[in-house]
Amino acid sequence: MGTGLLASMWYMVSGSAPKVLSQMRRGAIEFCVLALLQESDMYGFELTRKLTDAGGLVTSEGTVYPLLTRIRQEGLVETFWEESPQGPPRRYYRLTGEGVRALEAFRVQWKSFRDAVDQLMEGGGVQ
Amino acid sequence: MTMTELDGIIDTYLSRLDTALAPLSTSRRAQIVTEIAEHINEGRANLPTQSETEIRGLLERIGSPNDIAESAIADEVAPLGRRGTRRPLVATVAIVLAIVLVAGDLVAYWAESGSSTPSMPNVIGLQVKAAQRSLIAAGIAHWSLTSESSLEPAGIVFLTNAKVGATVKPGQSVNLVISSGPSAVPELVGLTQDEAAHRLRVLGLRLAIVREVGPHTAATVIGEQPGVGTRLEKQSWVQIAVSSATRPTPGTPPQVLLMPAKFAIAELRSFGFSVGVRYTTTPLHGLGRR
Repeated sequence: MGTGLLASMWYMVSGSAPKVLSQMRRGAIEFCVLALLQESDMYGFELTRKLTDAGGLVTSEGTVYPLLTRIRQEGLVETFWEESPQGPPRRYYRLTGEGVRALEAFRVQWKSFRDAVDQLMEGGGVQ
Repeated sequence: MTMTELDGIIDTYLSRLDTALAPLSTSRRAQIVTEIAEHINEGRANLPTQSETEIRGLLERIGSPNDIAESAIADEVAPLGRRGTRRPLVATVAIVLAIVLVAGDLVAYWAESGSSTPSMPNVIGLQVKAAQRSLIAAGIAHWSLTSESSLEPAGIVFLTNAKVGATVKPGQSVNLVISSGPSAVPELVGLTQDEAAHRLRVLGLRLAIVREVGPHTAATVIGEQPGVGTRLEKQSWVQIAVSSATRPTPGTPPQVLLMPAKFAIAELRSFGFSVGVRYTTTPLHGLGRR
């Protein structure tokens, strides 16, 4: 899953930095959501707040919901209801087995990608 | 601002969101609107005060309907990281795992319930948590939850797709419909007829019209019944009084099937028809009009 994502990013590059960064943001957010859910099951409001608090990843909380419905349709997460002490019942999201596998695959690919880019960005050349 | 006026701000937002999501598939569109509505409910419960400023601040953090729709459409057109050649392997692994999981579930049923065919317990009227515990105790492991407005208190299961006592096969998914509480009639006066129709459709409410001739060039709502803020079950009827300068096409009666009689009579009369009423007991699919 990770390889496909990173490979497709190269194809989409037309040389414009903001465009590349926006594509990368869009691709990475999915795996950030999965990583958050790996820490613990969360309800929508909680999850979107955590993402916006992390800074710079999401422009607005609402944009996370299309992503959530898609990864649910793809079987990477599932939802369940729980009552809350005050207020309405909450729809919780949790990772499925396939979600865990997708996340782990991305982790491996992301680490090597990030390390390679960092090294070259430092300007020291390949060590 | 009154509570109902605050509800109106939220309803307007959700309406715009629903409209902006029109290019998506029906199910995805509905899911996104529903989940954002749930987000709003949760956020609202956390606000220090119920004021216009706070509510607008909450909606701003969520983002404009157009931004959300743009990101939803971009996501649908080119979801990153989901490309081709890995699929056969993923599919094979998925099938093998599915077989293992189903086998595991079957073993769990036998271990838990002592029989291989669980039967559906009665969960109507229970809180969601209690209903789910009931399903697990009965040996049912697959269920889905959907949310719908109804007059039942929020959080209560009021509908299921399996009869009490019916056998539930392994892998069969039982659906529980949870009430999200009743929908409140929104503020519609001042809107055009089309906007009002859309607003009500998004809430799952149905529209009856009483029209009169007036100064507005576009058919505009000048009154509504029942009043703003009234809590109604989904599929209930709301009657709007519409003022319009243009006359309706002569000879074409408006569609009034399934409306409450008083709304139907009022609508037909306002379109210039004289109305005769006959009461019969008849199965619903036999209804018609002349």
